[in-house]
Amino acid sequence: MTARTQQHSTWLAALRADLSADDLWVHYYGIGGYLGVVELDAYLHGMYFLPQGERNTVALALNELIDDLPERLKAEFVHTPPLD
Amino acid sequence: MSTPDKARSRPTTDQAANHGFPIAADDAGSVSVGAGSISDELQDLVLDSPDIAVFLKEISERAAAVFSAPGADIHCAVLLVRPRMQSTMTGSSPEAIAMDEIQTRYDDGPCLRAARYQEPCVVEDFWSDTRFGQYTTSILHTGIRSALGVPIQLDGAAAAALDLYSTRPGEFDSNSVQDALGLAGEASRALRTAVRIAHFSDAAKNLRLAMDSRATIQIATGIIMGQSRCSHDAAMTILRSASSSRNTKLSDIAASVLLSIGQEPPTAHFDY
Repeated sequence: MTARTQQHSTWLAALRADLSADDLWVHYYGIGGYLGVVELDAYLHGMYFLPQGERNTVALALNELIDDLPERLKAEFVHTPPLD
Repeated sequence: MSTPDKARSRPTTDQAANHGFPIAADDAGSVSVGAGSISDELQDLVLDSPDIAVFLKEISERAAAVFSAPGADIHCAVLLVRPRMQSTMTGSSPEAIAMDEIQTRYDDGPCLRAARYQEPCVVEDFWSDTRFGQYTTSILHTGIRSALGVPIQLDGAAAAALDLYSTRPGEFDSNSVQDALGLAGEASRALRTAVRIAHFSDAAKNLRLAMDSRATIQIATGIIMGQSRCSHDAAMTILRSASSSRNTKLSDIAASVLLSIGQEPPTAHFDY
């Protein structure tokens, strides 16, 4: 994975989750990120280069937020004894 | 169901034209909801409720009391959907909440449709209704026969609905729809205030959490730097890869590093 593909995957994940740089920034800062919200936005849009460590911090912050999003439709799991 | 009177049937036609929103306080008396200014009561409720779930529960209990009818169990639930957040479900009874959870599971149902399309959704009888697929089967298992969902108008992308369920088929006629729309119209203003307050208090809470977790993570990197004689960047890399590979939050990993040397994670102090 190159810097470019990692950035692109981050952008795509944020887009799918409907999370903007503003939404992401507080959590990103909370897990130790160093960027301001403008730089973070620029990175998401592929206009600001970040070293791998910081790219991973952004990815981690985004993934943690995505984990907290409302769950998608899931298959039903039956706990009762089998009836058939 | 309360008897329709002249005062109510008059604004009914006006309400039908614009889905019943917004209803002025003067018209409020026309809705068969009871005496006094409901708007004022609801505003007080906003101030008295510690959080939005409590407020929604009060609304649902009020609605259940208004629509209670002899010979049938009527449950009332309020569903609040906000973007990028878990939906909030409260109800006048555990059954009502369970029924809203069924809707969330199937991502369909009269109340979700009311919230999404901003128009009332009536189910006369679940036995003969074919609109909702598997959801109908699940709801019939709970003994519910008819349902009514009316939207509560909110700002922006948030949506809410007031949901009524009855064990009797055909419980909700056009009068009930108007009554429910009236109540939803009354609740709309108060709920908008409550949602706005919740938005800001959530934002403040997130900022506080961010300060706490950032401090915890910085201390944890310090511990790792001391223990493994490495740079700050290397320590952060260790924490990040541990978090990512174990699918555990970075702040939780950092807190466990602190706990491993017998220290409590710090909390930021703010006067607010």
